[in-house]
Amino acid sequence: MKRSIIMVMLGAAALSFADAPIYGYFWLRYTYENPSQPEDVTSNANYFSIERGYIRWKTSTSPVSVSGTIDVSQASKATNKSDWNVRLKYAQADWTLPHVGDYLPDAKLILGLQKVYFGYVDRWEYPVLEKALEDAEKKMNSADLGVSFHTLLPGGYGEASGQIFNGTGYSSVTENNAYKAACGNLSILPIAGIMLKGSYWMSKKPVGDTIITQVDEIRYAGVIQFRKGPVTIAGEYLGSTDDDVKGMGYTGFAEFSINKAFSLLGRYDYWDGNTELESNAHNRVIAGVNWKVAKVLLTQLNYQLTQYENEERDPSDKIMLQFKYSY
Amino acid sequence: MKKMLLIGLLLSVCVFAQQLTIQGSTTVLPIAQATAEAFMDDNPAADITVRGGGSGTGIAALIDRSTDIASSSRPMKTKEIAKARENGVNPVANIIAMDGIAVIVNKGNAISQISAEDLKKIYVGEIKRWDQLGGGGTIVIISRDAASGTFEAFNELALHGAKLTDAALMLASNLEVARTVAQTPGAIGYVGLGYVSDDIKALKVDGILPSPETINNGTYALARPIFMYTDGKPKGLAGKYFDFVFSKTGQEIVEETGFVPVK
Repeated sequence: MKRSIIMVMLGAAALSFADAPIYGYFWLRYTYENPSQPEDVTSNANYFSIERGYIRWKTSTSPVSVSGTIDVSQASKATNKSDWNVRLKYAQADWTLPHVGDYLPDAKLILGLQKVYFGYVDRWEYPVLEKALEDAEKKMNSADLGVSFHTLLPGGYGEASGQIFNGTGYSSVTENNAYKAACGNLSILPIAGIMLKGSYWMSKKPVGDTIITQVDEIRYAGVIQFRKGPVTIAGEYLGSTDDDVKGMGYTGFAEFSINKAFSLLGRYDYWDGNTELESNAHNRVIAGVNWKVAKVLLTQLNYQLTQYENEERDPSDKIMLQFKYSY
Repeated sequence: MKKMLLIGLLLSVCVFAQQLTIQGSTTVLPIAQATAEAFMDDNPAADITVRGGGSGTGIAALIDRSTDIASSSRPMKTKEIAKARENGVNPVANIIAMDGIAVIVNKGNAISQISAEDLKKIYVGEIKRWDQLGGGGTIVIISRDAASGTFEAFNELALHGAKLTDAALMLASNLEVARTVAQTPGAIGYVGLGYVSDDIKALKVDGILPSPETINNGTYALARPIFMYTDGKPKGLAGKYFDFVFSKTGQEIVEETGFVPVK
């Protein structure tokens, strides 16, 4: 079975890569961090960066399509060096299953490095510059290495997936535990414009450098989204368990499109990484404007303020201007 | 005074001009253009823009709300419906006509009919010469490009999902397919019924020639409905336009453009 899966993937890739169109995006960002904030950010508080660059390709051959994304980005500003990261973000074969599709539309096995269907992270297309809550708080990775079953619900009333991963995200080559991570996801579209979504992730992770002691790593999320005409409103609840440490948070997001070119955006995040501790939470307020200058150029202006329950910690804020250009 | 009148006239045009955009299938383009023109003649305040691009392009435009009506020569896929619903768009299918996919060859070709089985064998690359079917010479396979609804309908109705041979020449419109077949001895292609002309020869498929009668009575195998999708039930100007399309005059235009009326 393993061999036939690998044969399908390699065969499809070899046959069709030569014809694969290449496309993608780059994000050029200017960030101005408030210089009155803590010392560790003031040393490099005003900078241009290419936070992300996607080089993508996709081939479609029935019943297998193969696609990939290479993520090229400037190394973190914290290194203060002109380093660049080049890594695979996605490398997957989508194998449409015969016969199953008669009952479950678009049912497929997804093999390889792929999107994690969880909470809002698989829907988040960066209308504001901050990552989705679970990604921003480092509770979930947006991509991982493994095998998935994914299907649409009949009539286009939603989608469901079951995924098995290494559980260490797309940056890590190998897993660091003796168990696989499992992720289940169900989204329902009861009426046009309303999406309800629930996701559950369970895994184990090692304590320290060895894999001898493993503790539970559980994530769960519920999402509701309303989209009609120029308005999008969404909310997500996120919970986490890491051994006996429980975290919880939520996010609210709204977008209003003034016309085809301009939209106003706002987001509020709250995250408490350990609900047992006092003064441990923080919140994040984001306000933004998007201007679609052309089909290939989106300009985004964001103001982001992070405040901490711990009164000894100063709030931090920054202004970001980003140009997302596609090709 | 003249200036005032001119400003008033411009303002009234701005205020009262009603706009509608139709985008999508090149197969449906002749119906969309002809009905839009006739509708605007009767309704001078209406301003209808008609664009092609293919069924997939039109449906994508409906999903991101950049068109009011998506014309399509295939039904929307479940994936597209789900995406539309998530985006707050409730796609409603309006079947405005029926169409047959005519299998066409160069006029010099001795063949006048083909079985559905042989047609599939040609398009998957198993039959490469007309000699194998009682004709002569090499078969030049012409197809619509993969973004076209006609391609998807042909793929489903004639190929039953089998992979099209890599030898096929993929063209962007029905008109290009008809022209290329007319100019290329040994060529075979497929187009919407409205594109069949005296310059090319339509083949009988399993003994049945595509015609309004054989499409309506279901005997011609390669038949399909023609759609115009809207976000919800058509209202306002879109509603009036559909009333016109389904009227006696509208359906006569459907027939004049080579399609089969549904009313």
